[in-house]
Amino acid sequence: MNKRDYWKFITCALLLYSVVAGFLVEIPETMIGQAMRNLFFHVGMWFAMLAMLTTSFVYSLRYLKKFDEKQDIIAVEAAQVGLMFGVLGILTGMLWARFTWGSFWVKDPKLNGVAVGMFIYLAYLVLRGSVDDRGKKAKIGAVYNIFAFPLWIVFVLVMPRLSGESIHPGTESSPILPNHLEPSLRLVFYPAMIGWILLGFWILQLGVRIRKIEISNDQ
Amino acid sequence: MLTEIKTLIAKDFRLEFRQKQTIYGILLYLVSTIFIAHLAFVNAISPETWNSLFWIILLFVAVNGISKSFIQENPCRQLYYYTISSPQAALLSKIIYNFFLMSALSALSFVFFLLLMGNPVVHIPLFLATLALGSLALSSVLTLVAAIASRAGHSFSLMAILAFPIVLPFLSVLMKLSRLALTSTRWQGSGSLFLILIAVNLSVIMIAYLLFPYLWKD
Amino acid sequence: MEHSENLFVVIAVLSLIFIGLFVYLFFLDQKLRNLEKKTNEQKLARQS
Repeated sequence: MNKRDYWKFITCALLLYSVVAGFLVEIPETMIGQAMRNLFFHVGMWFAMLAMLTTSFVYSLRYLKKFDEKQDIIAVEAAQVGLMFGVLGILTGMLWARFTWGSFWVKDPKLNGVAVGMFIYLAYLVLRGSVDDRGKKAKIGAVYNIFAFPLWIVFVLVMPRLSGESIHPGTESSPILPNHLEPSLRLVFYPAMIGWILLGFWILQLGVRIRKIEISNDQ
Repeated sequence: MLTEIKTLIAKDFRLEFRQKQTIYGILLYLVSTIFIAHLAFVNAISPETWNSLFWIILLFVAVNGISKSFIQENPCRQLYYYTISSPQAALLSKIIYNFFLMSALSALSFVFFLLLMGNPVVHIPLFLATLALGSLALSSVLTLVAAIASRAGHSFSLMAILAFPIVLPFLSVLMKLSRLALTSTRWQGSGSLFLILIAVNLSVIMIAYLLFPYLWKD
Repeated sequence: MEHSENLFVVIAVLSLIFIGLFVYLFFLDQKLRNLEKKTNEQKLARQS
């Protein structure tokens, strides 16, 4: 078991490291104080979601090329895992928002973009659910996915930045390489993000394997 | 291919005029929703509210109107169309036709809004430009979504679920633009919004152009 | 900067939670592996 699954152990190690180091590392003096440690966890949700939805997009493209059902399974599972991380990200964000800004939700371009993004992928699942034939389901789903993903990127990444008036951090600078992060924080942040992304892939792999067995049992 | 598109658009127009029910249906929908709004707001409404109402009603009218664009034809005729034209031509012709439809509907909405809800629009050219660009945006996005929804069983609720999340951000940009038209008579500040709208619009059309053939095959 | 003992408790609790989750994930992984092996054997048996 352990030869090809080494990355799963790396995932565990990275995430445990992020928990321990996340609390021990020194936090620079800012308004939010200790809560900045949330960065390693709340943002992790977001990175994992991004990785999952990108995977879903890529495998939707691959499905349209070869019409191999295996690609479609990955596409759908990735979208589901991405949604899960998105929900967790929004929930943790709401908690954090309550503490920092006083209310669970605010009218903010980034928050709106993220909410719309969730709806887009929920609609994807509803669309797939309304078709019975597996081949059709996959094809229509793939078309919608390919159509919707670039829009999702625009809504979640581009528009909040363009509107310029977001109180959600990370809109003025790039969300991938936060150049405002102290080097000491970066030491924990990057491994943590990698850990969360790998965790996403692990959960994805489990889901895909389950689905494959379900399908082969149906036949 | 251009002639294909032209003939397809002409066909759509002719179909529409022959079966006037669908046009009447959408017009009735439009007028009655605006009238309901007129009744619901007893006092004069603020420009903000006017703006929001306008776009919400236009959105519903659009989803309603465009969702019918892939449903009307019966299967036999559809098979005939598939054999004689390319999918890209069909898609583009539908988008253009829906664009005309949306322009007409938005213009009519504007007229009825002026009649029943007052006119807070200060910068009319900007508003009209927004309407035009909005018609194009709504048409291109909703046409592809209608194509997808029509392949998955023609339920209106499916069309709505698919369409609303995708349309929302377009709507927010459009609303911002028209809000500008309500406040000042200058073109300032609208440039960047127009650019965003045009850019995203073009990419949407491109993606739809590439994807439509996959929907066409059935 | 001093870390009060309370912080170590939080680290311990979270580590425990995470370790628990990881153990569960590995458990699921193993279960799946067994299921896959069984399904493969069934498939081979059906084919032959």
